[in-house]
Amino acid sequence: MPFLFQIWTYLMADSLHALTQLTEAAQIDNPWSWVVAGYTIVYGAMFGLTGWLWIRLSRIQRQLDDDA
Amino acid sequence: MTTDSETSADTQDSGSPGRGGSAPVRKLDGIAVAGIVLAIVVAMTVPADKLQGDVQRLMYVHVPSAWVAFLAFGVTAISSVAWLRTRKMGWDTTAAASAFVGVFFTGTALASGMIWGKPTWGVFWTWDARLVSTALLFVIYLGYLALRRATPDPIDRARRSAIVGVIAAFQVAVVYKSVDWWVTLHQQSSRDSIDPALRLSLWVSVLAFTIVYIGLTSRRKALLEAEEALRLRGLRSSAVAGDAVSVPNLDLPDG
Repeated sequence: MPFLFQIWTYLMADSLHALTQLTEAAQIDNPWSWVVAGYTIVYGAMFGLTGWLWIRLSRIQRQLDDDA
Repeated sequence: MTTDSETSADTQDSGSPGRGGSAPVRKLDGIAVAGIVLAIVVAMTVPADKLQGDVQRLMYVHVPSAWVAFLAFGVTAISSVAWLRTRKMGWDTTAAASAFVGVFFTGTALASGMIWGKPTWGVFWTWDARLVSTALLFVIYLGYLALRRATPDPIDRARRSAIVGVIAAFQVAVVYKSVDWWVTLHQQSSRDSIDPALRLSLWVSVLAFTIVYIGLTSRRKALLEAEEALRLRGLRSSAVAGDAVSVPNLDLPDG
């Protein structure tokens, strides 16, 4: 188990390092990378929240209907 | 005796939410999706800014996010005052729903601002008055939501959160005026100096985000009301079980 955890931490560190490299490269080479990242985060979060509210409200409504 | 269809019609007529939201909310979803698609198309096709280039297109998600956050916290403050005056629980759920959506949009404003900051300022974050005051706004309203979760009694919860909802609104003014009151890296309002084509695109995005805000707040309010109805039903059913089940009196001898 500690060995698996060690592998996991190495992988996480590598991923974070790669992500940093990616963002640094994007800053220099392509402004559209920032635009796409911003739009994806904002609209993705917006649709995600709408979906979560929709599903949760549907479940509770179903529960209330079943109880009735 | 009513059929399923009659019950369904009654439910719709009484205005209670159906699956996933009431009919007007579902209609609003359609308008919001159309508005968002239009906003994205306009934002991607409008000419780029002369100084910043294409990165400036982040303005069309950053500024509307901040605007909707201000609007949401304003609605929370007004609804809180209305609850303190009328004690109608509808105002309390409106305030809570609006604060929830406001926190969400403050988060997207911060995230999109950080993404815009890196290519233009060279850093994701700096201890600038506008940024710090916005982060503080985010934390204050997270505290508002935490306070609501920590108070089980509905009346106590409504009273405490209404007071916080009114006081916290002053932070919105601090955030808005921070670029005028302090020397900041964040630019001042460009409302009057912005190019007309860019302004039009910004207004389209602001309108689309405002429609999304109305849809999200309506659905969140419906969810809060449904959760409360479920909680009350649970209390009633536990009371019935409490009457039916009693501990038998065995009269056991001591020792």
